[in-house]
Amino acid sequence: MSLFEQFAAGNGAKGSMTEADSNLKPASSPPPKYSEKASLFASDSDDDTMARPAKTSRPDIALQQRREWRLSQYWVHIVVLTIFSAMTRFYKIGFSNRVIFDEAHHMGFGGKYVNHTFYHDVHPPLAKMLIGLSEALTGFDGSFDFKSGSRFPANVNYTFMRLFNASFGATLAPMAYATLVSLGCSPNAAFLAGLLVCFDNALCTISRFALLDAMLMCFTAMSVLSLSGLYKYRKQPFSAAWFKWLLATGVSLGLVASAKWVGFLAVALVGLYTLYELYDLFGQKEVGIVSHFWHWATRVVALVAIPVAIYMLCFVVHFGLLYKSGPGDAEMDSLFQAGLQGSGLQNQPLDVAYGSKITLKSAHPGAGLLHSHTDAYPDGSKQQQITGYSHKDTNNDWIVKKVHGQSYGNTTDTIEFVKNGDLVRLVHERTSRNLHSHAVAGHVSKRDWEISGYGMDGTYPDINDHWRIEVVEELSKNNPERRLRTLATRFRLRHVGQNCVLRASGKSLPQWAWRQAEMVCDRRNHLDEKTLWNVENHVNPLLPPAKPSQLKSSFLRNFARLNLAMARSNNALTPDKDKFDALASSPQDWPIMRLGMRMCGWEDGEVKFWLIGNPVVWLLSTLAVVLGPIQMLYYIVRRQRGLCDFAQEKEWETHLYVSGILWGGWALHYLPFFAMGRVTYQHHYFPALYFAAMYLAYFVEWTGRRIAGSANAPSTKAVMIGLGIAAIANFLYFAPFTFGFDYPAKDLAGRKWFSSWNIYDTTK
Amino acid sequence: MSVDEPQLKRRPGKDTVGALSPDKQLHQDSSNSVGAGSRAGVSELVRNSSSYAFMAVVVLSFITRYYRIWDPAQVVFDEVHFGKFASYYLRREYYFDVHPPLAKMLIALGGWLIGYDGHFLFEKIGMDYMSNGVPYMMLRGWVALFGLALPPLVYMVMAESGYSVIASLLAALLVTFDNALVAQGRLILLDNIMIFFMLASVYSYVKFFKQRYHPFGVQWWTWLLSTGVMLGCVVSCKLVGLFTIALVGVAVIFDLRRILDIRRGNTMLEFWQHFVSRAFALIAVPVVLYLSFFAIHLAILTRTGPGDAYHTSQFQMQLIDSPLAKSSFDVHYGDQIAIRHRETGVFVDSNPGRYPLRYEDQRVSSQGQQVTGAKDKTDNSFWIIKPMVDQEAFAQFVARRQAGEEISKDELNKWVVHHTDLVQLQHAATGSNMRTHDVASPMTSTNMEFTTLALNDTAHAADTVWKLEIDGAKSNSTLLKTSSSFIRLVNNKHGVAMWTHPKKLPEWGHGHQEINGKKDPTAKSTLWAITEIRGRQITAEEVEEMAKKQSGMSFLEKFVELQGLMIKHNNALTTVHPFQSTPLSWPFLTRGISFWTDAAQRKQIYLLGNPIGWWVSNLALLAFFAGLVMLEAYGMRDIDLVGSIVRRHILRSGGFIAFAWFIHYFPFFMMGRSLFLHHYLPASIFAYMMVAACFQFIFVHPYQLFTLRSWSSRARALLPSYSTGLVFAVLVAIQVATFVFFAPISYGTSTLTAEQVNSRRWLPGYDLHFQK
Repeated sequence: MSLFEQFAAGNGAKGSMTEADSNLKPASSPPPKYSEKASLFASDSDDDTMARPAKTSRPDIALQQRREWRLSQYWVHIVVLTIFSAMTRFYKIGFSNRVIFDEAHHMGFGGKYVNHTFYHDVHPPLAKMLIGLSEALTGFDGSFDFKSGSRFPANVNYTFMRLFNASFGATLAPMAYATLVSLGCSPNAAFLAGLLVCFDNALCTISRFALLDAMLMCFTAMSVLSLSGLYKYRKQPFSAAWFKWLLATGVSLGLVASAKWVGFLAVALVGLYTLYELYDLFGQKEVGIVSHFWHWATRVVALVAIPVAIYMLCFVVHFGLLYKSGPGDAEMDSLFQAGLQGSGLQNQPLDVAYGSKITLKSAHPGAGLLHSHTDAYPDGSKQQQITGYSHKDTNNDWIVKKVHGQSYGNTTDTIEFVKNGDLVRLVHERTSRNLHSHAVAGHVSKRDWEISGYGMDGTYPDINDHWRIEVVEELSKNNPERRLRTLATRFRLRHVGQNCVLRASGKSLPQWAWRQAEMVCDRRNHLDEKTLWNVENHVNPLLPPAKPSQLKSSFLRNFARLNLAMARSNNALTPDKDKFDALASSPQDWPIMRLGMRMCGWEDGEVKFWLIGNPVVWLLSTLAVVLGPIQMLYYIVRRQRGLCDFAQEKEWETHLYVSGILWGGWALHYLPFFAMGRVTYQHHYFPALYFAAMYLAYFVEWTGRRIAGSANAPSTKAVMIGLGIAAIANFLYFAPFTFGFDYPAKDLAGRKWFSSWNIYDTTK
Repeated sequence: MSVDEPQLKRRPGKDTVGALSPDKQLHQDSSNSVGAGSRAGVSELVRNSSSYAFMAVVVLSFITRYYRIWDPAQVVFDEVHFGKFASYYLRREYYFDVHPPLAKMLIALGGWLIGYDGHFLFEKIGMDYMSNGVPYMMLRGWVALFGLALPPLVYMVMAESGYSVIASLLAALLVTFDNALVAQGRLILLDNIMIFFMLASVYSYVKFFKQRYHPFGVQWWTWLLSTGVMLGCVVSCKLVGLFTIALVGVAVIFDLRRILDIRRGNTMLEFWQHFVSRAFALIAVPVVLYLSFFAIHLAILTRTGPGDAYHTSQFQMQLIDSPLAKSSFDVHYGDQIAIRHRETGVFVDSNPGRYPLRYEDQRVSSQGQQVTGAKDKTDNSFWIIKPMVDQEAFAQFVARRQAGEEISKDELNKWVVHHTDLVQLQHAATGSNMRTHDVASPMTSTNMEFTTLALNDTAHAADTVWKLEIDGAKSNSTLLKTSSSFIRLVNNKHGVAMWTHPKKLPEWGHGHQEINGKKDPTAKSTLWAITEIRGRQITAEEVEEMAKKQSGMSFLEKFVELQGLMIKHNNALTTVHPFQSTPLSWPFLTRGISFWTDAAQRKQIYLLGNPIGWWVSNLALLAFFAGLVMLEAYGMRDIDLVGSIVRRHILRSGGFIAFAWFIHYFPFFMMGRSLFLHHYLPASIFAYMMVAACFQFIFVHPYQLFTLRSWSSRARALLPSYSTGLVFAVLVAIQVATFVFFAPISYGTSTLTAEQVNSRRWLPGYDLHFQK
């Protein structure tokens, strides 16, 4: 701290002083430049500055009293919003004793942490680990598999699990309030934002189940709250409060990115803000070079290093907790799997011999194991398909044989090992087809040759069944003969007839091959990772099992591999045109509330939840984000005409900043979904809605200030109160959707406001 | 867009920067400048240098574009499409294409002028022109006129934008000697026509912008309207013309912002005048032109042709000799109809075979009678359509019909089928009703199984009632017609629609397609048509009667339909082409497109830019962006690196060129359709201009001395220094040498040995033919 004090002071600004400090000592020193309020209509309600004991001279008494009043008002608002949030989030939370919506996934993944079995999922682990924590806290024994729609058994305390999750959701409203206060809004507008967030049906509903979204939203809200703190203290860099918020921003970004990858949109918001700040700083000639350095260094540490560390730490814990073999093994490379308990890769023979039954794993994440099945290619050679497949089944088994016309020993004494440079044949065990390639174009990668299954073992000898082993990397020691070793040897298979290499093209085959990975024989010798293979499973009764190997895969390698696999799975979540997915929706549907979503089965007697927003919040916030830029344009045009609408230029600058954070936050959390190829769901809009709701409150206040002249004008207040009441009323009207209803949906048919809503299907 | 001196001179009070008039500067600078010698003979040469440079560009452009334009005398690459379309215009037969019509009509116009009758259909690449009697040389020569115009236009744009003779010449020569523009520019293709209008728009806009201190004058209006007309033309050639419109649009927004600035002294009324006149010229004029070209297009193509099938039946019926008009007649209850799937063309078939009890994946079926989709129409493909109301009267009607009684027209008309009627479909061969029920379909477990139900099974009769919906019908009185109506059969009880997909059933299903009930009845793939009524033949008088009843479509209705189809099919162009490429690879020129090959003579045409030229343009773009960042960074610290005039020219003209490159390139990253190298050609022109702009920013000083007022105006000086001339010479020499080196594969006129082919394989992606 003192170091920063020194150099900050050296720049002519006593940066370590807080706002309160400087205001308390007006007589002793002239108010330095930085002590101007952070924004024009900033309230001084930050706890840091407010909690100081009063020791003042007479002129300050009125100011002091006003501050004390504001501080107590601030905390009363926070407490009220927290109570409202808790009431709406916790009420009847255990009403449905079934596994609702994606609880099947996320509670299930939580259970994996309890059971320590390795699984694979598209999302980073933090939020799921927290769900796992809540399960562990209830003493859950891992015996229930959270099958979709099934009833929780008596020994699963699902109410607590949901409560745990809902408490994250309950923090949203108070944080929205604090954020707006920090950005300089009046308590009225901030409280309105809190109400809008608290009484939105969709945000409430999604928080009430053990899903990732409540945590994601909570961390997003933390990020923007911290950012608003940074904004508030931007004129006092290196002060204690500034450091506090900088650190909080870094930690929040780490958390939000570790919960779901959409969290990176929050990272983008903070990143853009920071870049602008640094750009602005660059133009300030009075700032010295040393100070510049510290501005950059502190931000790099806090906003890059800390989030990265948190993100990686989550994976350290993830790998540490999941030490048993499980359903996600196949996504990882063989070396990693060998380190999992019960993976079946431990007690295998080390050296591969002729006659061994093996599976071949591609080094390319997502290509999986070399696979074949009885389906033939629909065109090309029309021979049997060869693909890459991540799941383990017996169609991945291959027998290593010598080339046509040669035999090999099949006793312990005469056994021959496979070595670097050997010519081999790989015979698919189930169908007896040889791994084969020929001058027929590939099916997706048309510039390479097709790989097919051909012949009946040795019945139709063909030189195109011959492959040469080319060892590239050996991870074990003591292998002078360069034998092919299980897990430890990375090698290529070169086709002898055409001098091409077996390669996972990285593309998926069409539906006729069940979208499995394409295999080609690469003509152009791309000797990249996609051509590398290793033996994963190895069965040979003639050989003894290997000694417990010392091979261990490093964390960084596992981390990189898992993240690539996540990206690939994420991209594979593409909509299937042939299937009608009633849950999916597209981005343009969200702001206009075109669709709601049934979260569970719709039988009359069951408890049903329907995910729908509060129209007051959703539609009006959409209106605000549309009107905002138009209003902005209006004022820009007026400024071009030299018309002065603002008493001080700062008022306009503040408006640009705050709109940038709130409207920009909305745009950054919404627009990228248009560019995403994957399936999108309504709940992807929720982070954007959080920004939109805050922007709505800000927009009302700012517009009120422009039209009525003051944020406290009766008309502005009336609009705010009206909005708040309307939101609460609409929330209560839609409450059955949120809290669940166990009567027929027909009884709620009157609340079907748009014909596209599927709360009740009138066609039946 | 241009340096401001002429205006500055007139309005010294407005812009205080660069207060020296150019002429004064000339006097001051000429003594220091190397190129601007004082001797009279040299001086005259220098003064006319711009005209000489322009003429040189025209001549070189002509040589590169017209060199052996008759070679090869075969169909090359997309001449397959655009030659064919020209033929269709000349035959006046309706065709469908994703591009707007102007460029294709211009090609056809050339054909019409030389008297070509459109007899050849350009079916395959490599077909011979000579033996088919196609005046291809004249066609190519006509299209190459547009290609010929590109380098001179580039020269004009640069010169008008305030660059020096030498910089403008550099840009024009780089474009002249670009292999891709040449290869593309001498064939019957659209791109050069489109690029021509694009450059013409830019030229007009630059001219217009230079008139900004004489608003609403004759010149001002001329160039403004010219911009609008050219924009209308460019977007009528290809929809990527929208990027050019966006370019001009953004420039106009900046311009309007300038006019709005109170310090400029315009009143609000004047601002609105500016605004409205631009809106009229740059929005209304292009829209009207775009519509007009479609009107001409539709006026020419009046006969039935290969494009019919893309359109609605109403549209098709308007075409002369439409086969649809001969096969469209009312369906009556009691008719035996064949129902065909629109997308996959299979007929709804049923046969006494049953679904197997258990499928491979262990799911269980109903074991009901199969309903499947068969490629061929057989006796099993006919279904009797039955009403759900007036069933007694219907039974009598059917009985009388079967007895062969004459039924009056009025009575027959009582039994027509309407939109939203509830119907049953009885399989003619096996006598059971089509049914769907809550059993998973054999291969698509999310959909409902289709089967039939015996007539006497009344317990499940509700499963057999279908709501017949005619696609696009607006009222319940719309009649069901064969061929021209597309229908959906939605089950009245379950709300699923009859649907099929190309997946084949296993052996038990005779290799037929699976038919099942889709839960989303609105999908396009649930559309079917009735292709035939058994035993019904249309009579000549019925055709005549129908022709009378045909409701016409207005031009706007036709246009909206056609435009919708164009956009839809453009987005659907996703089939993988062996020579498609990704936008990211274009500027680096990692791969070309094989246009044409002749194995016997080892000749080929391979579309490839000038690799060095393209890589140099990338450097120029990079240098420009780096320069901008530097200017901005120094500006933030209040340091002026280059002086205000150069700075403004860099920001305005350089920024315009850079943005033009950007807007003609980056949108492709967001397109889902298959993309090709030639989509980068418009952007590549701007990239070349950027090379010349950077050349000027770096090497040509003092700036004002060399600036041209117009492409035809006299220059005041030619070369700032010999080193500048050397840079120019080196750049041009490399460009020309590379061009000549790659010329054999751009022109396809010379035989290459394997060695020669391989020596041109600079990057592994250049998959030229005849490498061995």
